[in-house]
Amino acid sequence: MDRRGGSQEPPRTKAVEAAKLVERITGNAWATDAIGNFIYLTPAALASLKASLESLNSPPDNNSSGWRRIIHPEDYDAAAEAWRRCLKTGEHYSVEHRMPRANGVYGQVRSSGQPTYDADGAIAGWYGTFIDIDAPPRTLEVELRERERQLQQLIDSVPALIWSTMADGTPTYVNKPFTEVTGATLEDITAPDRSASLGVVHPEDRAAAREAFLRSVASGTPYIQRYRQHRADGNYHWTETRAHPSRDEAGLIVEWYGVSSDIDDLIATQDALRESEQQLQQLVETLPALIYCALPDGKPIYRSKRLREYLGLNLEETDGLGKTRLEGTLDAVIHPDDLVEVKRRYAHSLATGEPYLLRHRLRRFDGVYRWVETRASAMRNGDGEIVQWNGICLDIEDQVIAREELSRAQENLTRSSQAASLAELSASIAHEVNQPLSAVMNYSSACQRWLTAGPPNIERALKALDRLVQSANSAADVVSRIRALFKQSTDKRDSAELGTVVRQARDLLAEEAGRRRITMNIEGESGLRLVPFDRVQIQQVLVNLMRNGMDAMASVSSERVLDIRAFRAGDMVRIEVKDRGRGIQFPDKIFEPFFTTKDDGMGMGLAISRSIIESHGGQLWAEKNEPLGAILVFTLPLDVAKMP
Amino acid sequence: MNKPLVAIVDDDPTVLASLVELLESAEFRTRSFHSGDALLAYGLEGVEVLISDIGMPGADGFELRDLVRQADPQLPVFLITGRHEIADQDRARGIDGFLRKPFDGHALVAAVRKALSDRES
Repeated sequence: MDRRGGSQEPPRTKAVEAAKLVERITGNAWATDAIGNFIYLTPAALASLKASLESLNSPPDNNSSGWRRIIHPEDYDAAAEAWRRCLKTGEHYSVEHRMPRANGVYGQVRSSGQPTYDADGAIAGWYGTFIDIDAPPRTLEVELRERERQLQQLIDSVPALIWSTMADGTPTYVNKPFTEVTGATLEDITAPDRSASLGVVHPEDRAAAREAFLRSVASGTPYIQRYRQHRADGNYHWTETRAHPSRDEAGLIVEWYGVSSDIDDLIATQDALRESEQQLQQLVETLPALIYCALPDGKPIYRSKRLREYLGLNLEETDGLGKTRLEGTLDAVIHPDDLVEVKRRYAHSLATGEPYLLRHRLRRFDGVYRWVETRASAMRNGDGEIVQWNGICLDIEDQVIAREELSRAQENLTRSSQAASLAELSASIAHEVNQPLSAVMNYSSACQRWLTAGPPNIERALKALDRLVQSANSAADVVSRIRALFKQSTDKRDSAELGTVVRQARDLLAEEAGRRRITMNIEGESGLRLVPFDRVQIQQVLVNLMRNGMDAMASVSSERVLDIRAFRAGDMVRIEVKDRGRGIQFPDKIFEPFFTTKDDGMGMGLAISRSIIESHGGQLWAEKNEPLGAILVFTLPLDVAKMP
Repeated sequence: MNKPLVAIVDDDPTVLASLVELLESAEFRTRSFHSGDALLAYGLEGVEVLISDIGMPGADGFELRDLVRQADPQLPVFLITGRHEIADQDRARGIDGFLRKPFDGHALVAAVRKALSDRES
């Protein structure tokens, strides 16, 4: 049938000519006579319909032939109605209807046609074409719609603010979270001129964001910008927005896709961190100390402002001298006399990880070396590896100077007190010597007088002369005793028995004691042998203590008794001189040079006595006597080997 | 003619004895005391001149001088000391008859004689 229909030669009418013209353009065409009978249909179309022109022109009420073969039954009535109206009025025909394809499946076509006219203006025929306007099959469409829905859902449920614009930046889309979070719809972010309004950007950040976005749009480079973005509750949150262009096959930008991420917490954390870092930095910079940090190998990497100002050196200034930075720094700032030790100790700490502590001189910016104390310790990571050395340097110049001054002052004090005690001693010597010397002069005058009297009194002259010699000897004794005191020599020491020395002292004072109505009691163990001692000096001490005891009782009305006891106490002998006077008011001071309670005393007796006893390896001190008075006690070492 | 009586006070027995010897050799009578208290206890009866050490236990030379001057304002008093610091003190300045040990015995005798003759005239 196809071939038959196709091989039939169509009549040469205007309509057929027009149809063939259309056929060349659209691929198919038809022509009818004035009353609507097909006189031509593109052969390929006839083949595809498995129909002939005759069958198409059969009466329309036949269900199995005619138009019903090319029009879906549901569309048939509308199409036939439209066709009948066009045949009657001559208006253009244009109807959409479903039409069976070669595979039997209906497709949507637009069938359109128009009349041709004869020379009298009457309708001579019709021509037209079917234009395939078919949408994809319904199942594919549903699938696509489903996919689109899922994509939409995905975009709307992603916790990110997503938007798109056209190539020129005109906003085209915002996802649901965008509107929920920012409170802004697509309209809200679109300016009246269709450009991006950036209405959600904080006014202070907007100009910069706009500039960056326009730059990206103009250059086609990705857009990234941080700014504060409006929130539905009225606040602004720090946001990072990125956008990339989407390009077609030719590489032309079709759209921009953007996403905004809330980085407010991140920024807040960064701010807090920065603030904390700044505070720490400020702390380090304002601490009244010189602070530095170094790498595990000792290379300096940080100096606090104070240290920089102190040294007048920046980190890099000692670089490039053919040495390491550490070496260059040390050579530049450490006093040459301390350099070797500093380097040795520093190297030791770096090698062992042990803390570093050293006092040395450090060169200040003005070239002055000042004493500092430097301490450094290693900072370790979780694995115990040294990651950094942190050091602190304290200027101790003032303390060092102060200490030096103090020790100088102490030295001066010692010297001057020595000088003072020497002066005092000179006065004592003068007094000690003056007494016998004065007697010598008196006796010599007397002697002269006895001899020059008329008649000369030889007997009295000789007696005066004898006493003169005694006094002169006693003056000589004083001088030699004093000389011995200064020499502090041991060559005068012998192994005399202590008891003898005590008895001699008592004998020396016996007359005086009797005169002052003082009873002296001597009590002592026998056979106390001391290590060799200077008997003159010890006797001098004893006499001094005994005289003091007597003086202490000069103004008391009760019984005046002076007890002298000597007995063994361990490896020492203990000698006590007890009086019953008024006691000692300043027991701590009485041994100090110049301290005296006597009008004519110079306060040297006890001081000298103590130095004598101590030079013998003993001690001298005062105690309280009961019920009244004082005890002056001294000890001397016993010669234990010779003791029974 | 009666020899003038000189009272001598010194707590150092050697010095005291030497003064007694000196004044006796110059034909004075002497009466010696080991302390000012002893002198006061004995009394000043017949004493025409007083020679005293300054530094002594009990009443010292200065106190003794003040006390005897209350009884006899014209009594010549000679004070002697071995301590030059005491001699330099304010209370020792401008006083006649002040001597530092050691002194020339003849000078003391001459001074005592002059004081006695001044008093008589």
